[in-house]
Amino acid sequence: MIGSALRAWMSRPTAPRESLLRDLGRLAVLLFGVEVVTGSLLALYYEPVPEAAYRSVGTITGTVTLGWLVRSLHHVTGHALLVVVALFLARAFLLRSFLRPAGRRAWVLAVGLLFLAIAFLMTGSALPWDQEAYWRTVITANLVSGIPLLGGWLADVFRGGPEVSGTTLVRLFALHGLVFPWLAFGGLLLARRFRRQGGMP
Amino acid sequence: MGTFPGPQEPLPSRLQRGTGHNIRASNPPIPMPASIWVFDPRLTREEATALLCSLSERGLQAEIREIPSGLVAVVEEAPPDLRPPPGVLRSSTVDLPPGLSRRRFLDAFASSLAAGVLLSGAGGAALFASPPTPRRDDVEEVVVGTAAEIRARGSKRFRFGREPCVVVAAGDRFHALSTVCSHLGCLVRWTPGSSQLECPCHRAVFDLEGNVLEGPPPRPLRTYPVKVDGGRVVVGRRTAP
Repeated sequence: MIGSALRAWMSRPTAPRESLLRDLGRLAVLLFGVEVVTGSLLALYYEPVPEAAYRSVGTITGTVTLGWLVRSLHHVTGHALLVVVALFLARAFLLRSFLRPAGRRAWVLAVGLLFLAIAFLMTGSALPWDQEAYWRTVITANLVSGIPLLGGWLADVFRGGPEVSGTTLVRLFALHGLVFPWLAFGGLLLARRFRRQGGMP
Repeated sequence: MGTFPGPQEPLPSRLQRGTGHNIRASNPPIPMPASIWVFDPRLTREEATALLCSLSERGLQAEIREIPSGLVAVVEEAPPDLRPPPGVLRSSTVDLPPGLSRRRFLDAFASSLAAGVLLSGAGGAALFASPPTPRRDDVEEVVVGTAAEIRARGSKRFRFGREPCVVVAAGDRFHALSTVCSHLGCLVRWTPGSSQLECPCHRAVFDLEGNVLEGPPPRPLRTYPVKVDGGRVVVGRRTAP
């Protein structure tokens, strides 16, 4: 049954000489899948505690078999994902697909996914919890607090208190490993539906 | 449109070549039913492709070929209840000799490539998930073997955590040394004849205390304290760096 389903999927008809750029969306889904797999593996060893976070990342790259590979894959793929989503948007912009009625909400969704990719990178780069990560988190919190009206409250929610602390690290980990992946999953499902409706470029 | 041969007549050679079936197979042919569909000549290739969409949902293979009078589709392994879609003027079922079509070859190639990638990924993930061997600093002591055994052999290689080491019996004492050369990390060898450890890479020579006798290494070899405990040789953690 799997075999026939796979065969049906592989032999589905496509238009001749279809541009490879049509596959940027699929490429983004593939990269997201790589991120999910490598991220789940990294979560087996990562400890979201200020005293242990940096050491556990060192253990992953230094001691665990193939740990350097899994972490590099996770790191590089994350950045590649941002590039692919940006290329996707650039293509949609140049083709002016957002002018089509079905294309408008698809455009909004794609921009949302771009911001999500940036949020993934921001939270993920803070997880090693070294000096750079700490100060970057402080800056991110200050950025969030600059949002009108809700900013102060949002920054407190992000930090888990008035200061960046160990609670912040747990929240970063929860956002990066739980909240954002589910958001991205839902977004990609929606994108698939929009694409079938002819909206997604 | 032109005439199209019926089921009993031989297929045009162009069609046989186009489907890629090996008609000169040396094995006795096992017939494979295939449906030949002749499309309305007004249809374009894209429209004909679109008509074949329902086939791939059923897991069937179809290839579109151009013949002088229009387009035909060859549906491999067509089940008896298969009805041609509208736009097909005429259909007939023939038995094709088995063989490896280009499509099947590409299918098999892509499937095995995907399976290889998935399997190696799963293998790597399993390696990653299995708990790592502790580092040198996490190990307290290692029981290398019995004193009698090591005296009889003269030396025995072992690992202190991840570090490859050797324990050497000299007189009534035991010496435990790392075999990682302090120069560029090659593995040194204990040579019983000269009672020295020699590095094969750059001809460095160390004595049993780890001191450099010859060659480029900047530091002595790493040594470990050894004690004999109830007839067993136990190598302990190094106190000085």
